[in-house]
Amino acid sequence: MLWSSPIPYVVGALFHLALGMLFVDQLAVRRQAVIQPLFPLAGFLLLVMAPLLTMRSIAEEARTGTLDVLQAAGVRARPLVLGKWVAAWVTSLAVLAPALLFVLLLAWWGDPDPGPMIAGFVGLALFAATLTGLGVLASSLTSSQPVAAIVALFLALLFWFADVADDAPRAGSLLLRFSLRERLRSFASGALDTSDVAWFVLLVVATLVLAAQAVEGRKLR
Amino acid sequence: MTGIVRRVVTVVLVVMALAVCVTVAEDTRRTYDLTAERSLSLSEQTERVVRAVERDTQVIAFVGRDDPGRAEISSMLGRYRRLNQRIEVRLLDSTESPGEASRLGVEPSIGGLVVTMGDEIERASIVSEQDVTAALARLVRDNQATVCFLTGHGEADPTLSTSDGMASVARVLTDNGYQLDQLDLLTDPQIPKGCTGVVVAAPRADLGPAADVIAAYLRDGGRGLVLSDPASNVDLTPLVAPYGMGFVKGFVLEGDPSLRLPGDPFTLAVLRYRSTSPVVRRLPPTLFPGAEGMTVDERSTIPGLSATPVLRSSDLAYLETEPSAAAFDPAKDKAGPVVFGGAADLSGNFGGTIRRTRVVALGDVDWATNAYVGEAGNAALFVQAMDWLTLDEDLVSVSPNLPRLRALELSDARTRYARLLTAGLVPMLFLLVGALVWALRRGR
Repeated sequence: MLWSSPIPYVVGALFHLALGMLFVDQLAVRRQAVIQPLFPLAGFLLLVMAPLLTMRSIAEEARTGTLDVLQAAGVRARPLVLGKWVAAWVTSLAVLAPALLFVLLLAWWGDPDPGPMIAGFVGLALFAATLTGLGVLASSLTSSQPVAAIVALFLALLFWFADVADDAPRAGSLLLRFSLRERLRSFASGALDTSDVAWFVLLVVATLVLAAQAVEGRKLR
Repeated sequence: MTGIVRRVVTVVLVVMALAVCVTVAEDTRRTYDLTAERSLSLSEQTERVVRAVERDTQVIAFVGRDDPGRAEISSMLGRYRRLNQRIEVRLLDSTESPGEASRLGVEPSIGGLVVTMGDEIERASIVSEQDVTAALARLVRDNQATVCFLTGHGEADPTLSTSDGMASVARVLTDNGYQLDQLDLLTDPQIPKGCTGVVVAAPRADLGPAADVIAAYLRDGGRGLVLSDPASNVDLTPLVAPYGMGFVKGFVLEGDPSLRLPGDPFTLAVLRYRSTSPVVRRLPPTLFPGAEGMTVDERSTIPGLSATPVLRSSDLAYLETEPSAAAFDPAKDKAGPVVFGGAADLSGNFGGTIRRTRVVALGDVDWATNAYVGEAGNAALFVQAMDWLTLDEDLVSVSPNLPRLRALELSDARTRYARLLTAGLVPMLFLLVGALVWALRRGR
């Protein structure tokens, strides 16, 4: 149903318009065959894009009453939430996919290091999984799409900028661990860190469990 | 009510489980460096030094919160911490913690690096893998290095605070973990075993028998910093000749205005170093007020000898052998570039004994005196030279795994093409497919 709405097409167009302009500018300035600057840019744009892709997922079902029908038909909350999340994640990956064009261009005109490319795109996929998880959670809390989008954006920004509030003197301190930006930066630099992978996976699991709880709660009401 | 309680408990459990799992994941983390040059990993030399740290150590980096390199420095220090839990790392903004910076001897407006182990402290002006590792290496070496300054022949004195003394250098060396001693070969013609390195700072009187003592010391695997000067008539070539180097009397005159003090062609500024020697690696610009020339035989046939020029003038300079008539005479003077600093390493098996002699020789002493050692990177040059001379391993030559530059052939036409493709065609395709889907759904 997601692809039958105009949302992914418009979001995808705006995403690549902004990403193309910004990253090509970066390349023109740096004159280096490096993919690393792509990921923070794509990450930040994804931060705005993901709530738009997920805002409908459960909120719309709740608003139209189909959620009640599904629950009355015995559909359990966890598979429902999982299905919604998978759909949103796959959609976000499909929207992201044309960014691979940059890999081709860099390989065509230079000799880029494949390591940061692999790590960066793995990181971006995990980052998209986390953002869609947060989006599905936000969507499960309300029947209003705009509210779901705003809550998801707020949560995503909170995690993105967690390191800004970090004034602890020790490198690797607590808030730094929560920062999605720092986690994505690690991937973008070319490192596959098990703690970063675990953080993204755990955050997805946590958001989906909480979203399932919220959907169960609706049934009780 | 029971349902609500159950959900609240579930939420609390999920959050707690998340916190526990994240902590476990952090503590058991493994990092796989996928970069071609392993540029996200510490070098093998650094790993060796870090593993040798057996006491609680603090690495404190003063880096501005808005410094573009802060994130990289944080990651780099984290690698030290992960490799050895005895190393605690702290990242401070010296403008926010000026008191702490001053207490640790760091100029708050500049920042820098402090490494402490017990009561011992090491400092560096730059926070890089090379500097952190060199500081750690100085702290973990078995014995504190002792630098012995030769005295008794009119050398620059490390106890004198006058402009021609070297008290400032002595202070810099002490700050960097060195012990200092004076070497009077007139009263006792032997170099104490405690001397890790010897400094011969432009004697004004002939060395006499002391020259043989120093030559023998160097021959037996000693380490020496030999500073000559145009103002001295003593020829120190016999000390450095076995290591492929020699001094040439005269003054280097710099012809490039950007590489000398305004109106003073005798005061040389070295802005860039063509040598890869650790003595000058990543060294800030240095200033030499009056230097004589040197010869450094890079192609020496002496087995085990590696000699390299570390300081040289521009092509526009020349060596003036008669300063009273400062005009280039092709018959007497030497055209630029003129070498005025060299470093030599002679390693070999001498009768079953492995010996390694290191000598750094410079054609000027003024740069290291109180009047000039505070200028630009002069103090750093002295410390780097002593580090290279006295450290057991090539620790000052730690080469971080730096990523290589990967040029992108991006003409204006290609830039336009890339922009058109990625910011034009791709968004257009999204909109086109969207419109198609919309039209198809409307048609049903």
